[in-house]
Amino acid sequence: MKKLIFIFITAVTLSACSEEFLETSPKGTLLSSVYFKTESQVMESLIATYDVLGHQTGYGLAWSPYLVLSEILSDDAYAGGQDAGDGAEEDEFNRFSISSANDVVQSLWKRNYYGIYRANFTIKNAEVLENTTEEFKALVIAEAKFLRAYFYFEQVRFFENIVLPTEPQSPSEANVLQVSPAAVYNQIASDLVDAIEGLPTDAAVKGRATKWAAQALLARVYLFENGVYGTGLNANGTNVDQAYVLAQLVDLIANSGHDLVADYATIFTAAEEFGVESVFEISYEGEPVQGDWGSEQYIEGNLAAQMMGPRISGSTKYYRGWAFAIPSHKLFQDMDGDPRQPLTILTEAALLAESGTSLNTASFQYTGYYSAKYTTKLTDRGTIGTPELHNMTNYRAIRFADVLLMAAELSGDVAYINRVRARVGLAALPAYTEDALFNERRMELSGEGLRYFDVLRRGQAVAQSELTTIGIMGPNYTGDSEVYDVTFNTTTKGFLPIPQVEMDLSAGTLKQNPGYN
Amino acid sequence: MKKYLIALFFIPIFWCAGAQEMTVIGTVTDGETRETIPGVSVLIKGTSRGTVTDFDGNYRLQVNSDDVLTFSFIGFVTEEIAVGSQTTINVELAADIEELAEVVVIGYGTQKKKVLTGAISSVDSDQITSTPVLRVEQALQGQAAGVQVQTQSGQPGERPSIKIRGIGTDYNSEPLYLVDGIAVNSIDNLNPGDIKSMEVLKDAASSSIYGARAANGVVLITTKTGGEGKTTISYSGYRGVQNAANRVELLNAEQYVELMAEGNVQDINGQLFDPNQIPANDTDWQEQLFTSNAPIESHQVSLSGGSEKASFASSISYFNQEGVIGGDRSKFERFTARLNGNFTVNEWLKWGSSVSYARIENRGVASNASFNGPYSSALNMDPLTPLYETDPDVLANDQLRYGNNPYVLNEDGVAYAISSNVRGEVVNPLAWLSLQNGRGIKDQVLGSVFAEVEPIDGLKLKSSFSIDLSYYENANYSQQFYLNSTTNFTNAPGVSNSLQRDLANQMENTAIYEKQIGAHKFNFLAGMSTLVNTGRYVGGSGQGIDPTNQDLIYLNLTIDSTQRTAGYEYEVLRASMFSRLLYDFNDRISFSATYRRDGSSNFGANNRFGNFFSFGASWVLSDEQFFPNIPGLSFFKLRTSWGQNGNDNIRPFAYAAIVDFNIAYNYANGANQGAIPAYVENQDIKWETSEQLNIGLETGFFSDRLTGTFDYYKKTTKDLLQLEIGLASIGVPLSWTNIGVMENEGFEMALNWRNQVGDFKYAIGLNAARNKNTMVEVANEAGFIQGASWALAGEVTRTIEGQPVTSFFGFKTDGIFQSTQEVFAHISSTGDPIQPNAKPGDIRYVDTNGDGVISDADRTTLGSPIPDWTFGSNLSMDYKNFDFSALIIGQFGNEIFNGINRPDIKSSNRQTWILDRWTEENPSTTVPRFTSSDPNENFTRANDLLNIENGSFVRIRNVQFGYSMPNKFLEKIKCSNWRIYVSLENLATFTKYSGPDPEVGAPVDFSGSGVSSVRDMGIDRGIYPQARTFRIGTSITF
Repeated sequence: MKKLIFIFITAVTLSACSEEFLETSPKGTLLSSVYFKTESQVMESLIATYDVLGHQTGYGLAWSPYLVLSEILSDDAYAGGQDAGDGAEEDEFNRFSISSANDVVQSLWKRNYYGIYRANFTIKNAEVLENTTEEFKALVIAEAKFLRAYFYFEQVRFFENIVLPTEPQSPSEANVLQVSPAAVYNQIASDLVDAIEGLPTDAAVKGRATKWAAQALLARVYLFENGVYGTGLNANGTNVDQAYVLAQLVDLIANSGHDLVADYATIFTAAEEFGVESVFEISYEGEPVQGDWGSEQYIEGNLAAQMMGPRISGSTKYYRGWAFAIPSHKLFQDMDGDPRQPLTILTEAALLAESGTSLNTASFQYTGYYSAKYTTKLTDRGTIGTPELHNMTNYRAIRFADVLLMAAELSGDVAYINRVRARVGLAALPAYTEDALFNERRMELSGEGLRYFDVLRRGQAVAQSELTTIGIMGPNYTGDSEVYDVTFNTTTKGFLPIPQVEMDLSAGTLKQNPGYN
Repeated sequence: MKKYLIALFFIPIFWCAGAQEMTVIGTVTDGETRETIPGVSVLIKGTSRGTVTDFDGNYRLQVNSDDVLTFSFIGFVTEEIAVGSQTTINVELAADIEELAEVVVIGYGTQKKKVLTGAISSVDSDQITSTPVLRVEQALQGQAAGVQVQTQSGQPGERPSIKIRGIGTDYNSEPLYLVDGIAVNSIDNLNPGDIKSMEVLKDAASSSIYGARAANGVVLITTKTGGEGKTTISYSGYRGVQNAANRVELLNAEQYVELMAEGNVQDINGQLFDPNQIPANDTDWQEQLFTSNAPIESHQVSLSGGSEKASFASSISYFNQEGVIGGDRSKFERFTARLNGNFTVNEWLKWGSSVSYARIENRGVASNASFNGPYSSALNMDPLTPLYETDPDVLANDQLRYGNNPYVLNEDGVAYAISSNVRGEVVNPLAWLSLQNGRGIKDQVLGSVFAEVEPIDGLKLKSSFSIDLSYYENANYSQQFYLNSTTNFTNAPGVSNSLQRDLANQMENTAIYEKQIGAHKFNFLAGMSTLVNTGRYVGGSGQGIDPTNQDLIYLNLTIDSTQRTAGYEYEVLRASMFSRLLYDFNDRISFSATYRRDGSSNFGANNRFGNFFSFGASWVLSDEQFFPNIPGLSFFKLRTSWGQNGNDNIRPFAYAAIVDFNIAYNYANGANQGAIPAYVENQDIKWETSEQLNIGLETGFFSDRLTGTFDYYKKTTKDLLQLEIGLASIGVPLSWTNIGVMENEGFEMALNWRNQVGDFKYAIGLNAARNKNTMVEVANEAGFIQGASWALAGEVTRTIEGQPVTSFFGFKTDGIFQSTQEVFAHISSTGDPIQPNAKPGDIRYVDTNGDGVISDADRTTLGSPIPDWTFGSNLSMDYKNFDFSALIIGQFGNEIFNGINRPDIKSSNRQTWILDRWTEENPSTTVPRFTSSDPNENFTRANDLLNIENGSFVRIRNVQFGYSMPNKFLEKIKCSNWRIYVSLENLATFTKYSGPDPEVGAPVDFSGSGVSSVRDMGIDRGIYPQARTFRIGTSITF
């Protein structure tokens, strides 16, 4: 009998091996195939899209903050860093001798496509969302389009010849040819025109995109495209020409409520984050602490500010930065006499006097200057986690002053320039000239990541003369004078190489940009 | 044979004499040749009393009339003869063909070795305990052909990687381990002394009974059980000291200054080196870093015994090892306890249970790291810096290095010096070591129960249930420190703690039916098993503790707002059904067939199940009438097998796109939770399948005193599981995918010779294996798989179609330019110089893609970390009470990537081969010129001239001398066996490799995170070298 019971139990358990046994679900997370079906879940994917704005590195790759790289490419800053070996990748940017295997190039490329994917993903899920209102759908799609335009613009400005996915792709669909820059610009224009239509004038919370941000970004896109290509912008049928763009800015200036803050010195303080002058701002915070070394894409801090801070010890005002993207002596000289000079460039003498220490370490390509706008102020230091990764300085992506100067450029009206000058107590200019405009842009906006593209869009001749700097070391330079010499590489027209890894992975589908083999 | 041995072992030692005493004489001869045999052991059964036959095969012994004599000699069947009234006992010993019929553990049973159809290597407890090993895996090193045991590094407790017949997959090619039939994730917890035997199932037919997870081979571990007889108790243990076996030759202070000055290198203040300075210090950082006489010890007490109805084996053990780097900062301590019991309840029911507990405490330092490795720092730190800085002026006033910075003090309050020449991650290695406070503690309980009934003759039904429960606790705290301007931590001191609980439940039911019809033997197995792995992790961290007071390093004492918690959970389910038929005819012709069906929750509904088949056959030709009588040849067997196996070793839910919730963005109102798919979905992902053909030959010569085994195999792994790297424009990391086809082809041979000349017994074993690995297909658009990176030079290994997996990748060189003319003679097809900026002394790179410039597109494969040949040889000799053994291992035909220096840090110290650098006076052809600017990137581009070295080596792994106490003495102290020995590990290594240790292992990843262990093979970043260990030990049985 006992034997029979045992046989019976064995037989039952033997037959119990069925498919149901293997059914389980992931713990602590969900499958995306069932998620993203409600308003709040789609909103989370929109937040994830915003999150990429703050990424300053591609997943698992080298640091590539937009601000640091665009400054280093310009004549306003050198690569810097501890020594020639520290940040060799940045130094390649500095010297316009950029290897297609440069990690930073790959990182930049990857970061923007992550943003584009998330925008595409959000739009796709919003479009098919059920149990929602048309208002909700329209708002989410408009914000996602704004963000997609933002990422595509950064990508096309750096790389020129890029691929243009407008929907999430499976790996088998992804290996496609690059499109013409015109196709990318038209897509950007079309997204921004839609965004202007769909975005609110007053965001539910500051930090989210507004109609004004989309208008200002469209102007920036128009000016760059017009300067470099001039083929015009076709936004899905709407001709985005100079008049169209100017009208957007006039609307913005008149109706947005944005204005210049009274005191230029306060623009980059914590008090003015999301302030009246900020048309669009990227937020950085010390919390939540989600990433650390090796997973920096998850952190919320501003890596650019950390990189650009002085290599100082014992200061009462600054904590130790790494002295990347250090301002050039050329910029210092050009700003001589302008009241904005000390608010843009922190000289070593001023730094030491101000911060109560006598200890600052010379860096590679040492000039004795540091950015005064984005730096390692103790007040902006993260309080938990790794301090280097949690600087809390927001990046002012589009300032009202920039909007005024773009309006001046589009209209030829000197009044806009003079409004910017008046704030810092400078005399009004009698008439609009292009030189005056670009000079004002430089004085007003240096150190904010705009200079390089302002130079590029004025044509290759200007680029060559402005970006080639030989023999300007500055009074405090140390080391070999040759390391300060930069020659613009005209064969590349100022664009970056397509990353070698991507070329390899595409097995020949992606073509390298001119000037790089 | 084994049964007899075990029985002998348990027979009571002390004999109560009551019978008549007398003298017996006799001669022992070979039953076949009629020649006398010297050296035959003649023992009175149940005692340790006895003698051996003399040169003419004669013996004489005092016995009692009711004694039984046992006659034993290697290669012959043991004879037992009762004395009775005989005074002359002549014995003919029969050649022991059973020797080859020794029993081998196969999955779900045992089988005579003679009828095996597959390739199985076996290591028994004698081999494991005679050369005491630190870890169970090491017992296989050099012992089994085709089993490459690669020590990962010399760090205590570091798990060696085992490759059976080459690398079977690009990701994790470690075998499946089963301990007494329980699939386990690690065997860290096993005490080597508890092991009865280890079997390595190498061919697919043998391992396919474990189908789903057996693609990389299976290691079966059987622990000791008790036997019938008197309870025995034994102790074994050793103590030893370890020292660094080798040092890398580095520049001394004078040479360092000369080189740095010549290369225009700047120190950390931007100053050039003065070639005329007389160095105040000449620090040998390796000397400072290595701990001398680092202790190692092991102790074990075991008890076993039993009756007809019940038997048991129990043991406790303790093992402790500190490292040659870092002392107690790098240590492994293990305590184990085990109880195995078997019960015969009645005629048809057997019951068994086993329970073991292990506690492991582990501390470690980075063992092969360019960044933050203590040894890497010692190799790159300049010799000008002293170990300590004692000058109070410097400490107070050098604000850049010391001053107000939290520089590190030793236990006596003396400041560790900070270099004024080197910076970055190259720091004072002793200061760095003193900051390592992390420790891990694992408590593991393994338990199993089985019941076996035999309802009808020949049918055995068995059910078993087992658990593997472990808790892993990790504790760490950080303090403020300043090692240099790059490597420092000035935040508030913090503490972190985590606890992970892993539980595996395995349930198995099997039915085995055995039937013999005449000379035909059948054995049919059917069974099912389920395995559930679950785990949960909780962790927390916080800041604001006082690290100087050990009693205050607790999470609850951190400041509230900084406390953070984390947690996750997982579950993996597997269900399998399997069946097997074994057939043999007269122990001469045998056949096996296996079918297994496995389901794993690691795959989507489309491909959740896999089916695996195998077949094998063998034929003992030497038993056939028609087999010619070849002199000397005593055994000849052919076997062949073919089979399939699977691999499901990927992260749970890798097939699905799970949502990544670890995303936030701060609007002006604070953080908002975001969510996005973490991976691209790949519902089609399926099992990795390996197919293997095996053809083997087993031979015996001279009454099987010489045995030889030869195997040819070809193993093709399809649908390799791989975390695919895709185009960035997809915008999300790719999932696991089936990426290609890999092939391993090779042959193995094992030769064993054993003989006895008088009291002198000796055995020589030699095994060698040749393996050729080819990545036949990479099924992605790129046609390659990215590899591992080194320091700042990026990718230095790559897997390319048609080449061995994970080959070294970099620039090919063609010598060194000796003159400007040579630079301009190095031209492209259009006639332009390929390296116009090169100077004499720079490396001539090969323009492999012919585009006229040297760029990253010219990188190509530069060699393979996979050896063509691996071999092992062991030698043992016994003379009377003395014994000697030696183990030699080696490998040939592999390369090592020498990346122990940090070329991106110009002022780092170098290996002495740089002294042969090119100068106008020294037109070197092997080392380029040294300049800090290095415009030709001689040192920063990974290349075959400077980074690729021959990795072949031969190593005397172990040498041992032992002495067993004589019987007379043993009787006096009432014990049956007492041996003492001394042992030396890593006595000598013969290699051309210039780095610290040619055994450059790769970290083994078992987390399923996708960090490939294979891709990191052979890259030396300053590997924690293996120690030379001297041990003295003893084993005693009562």
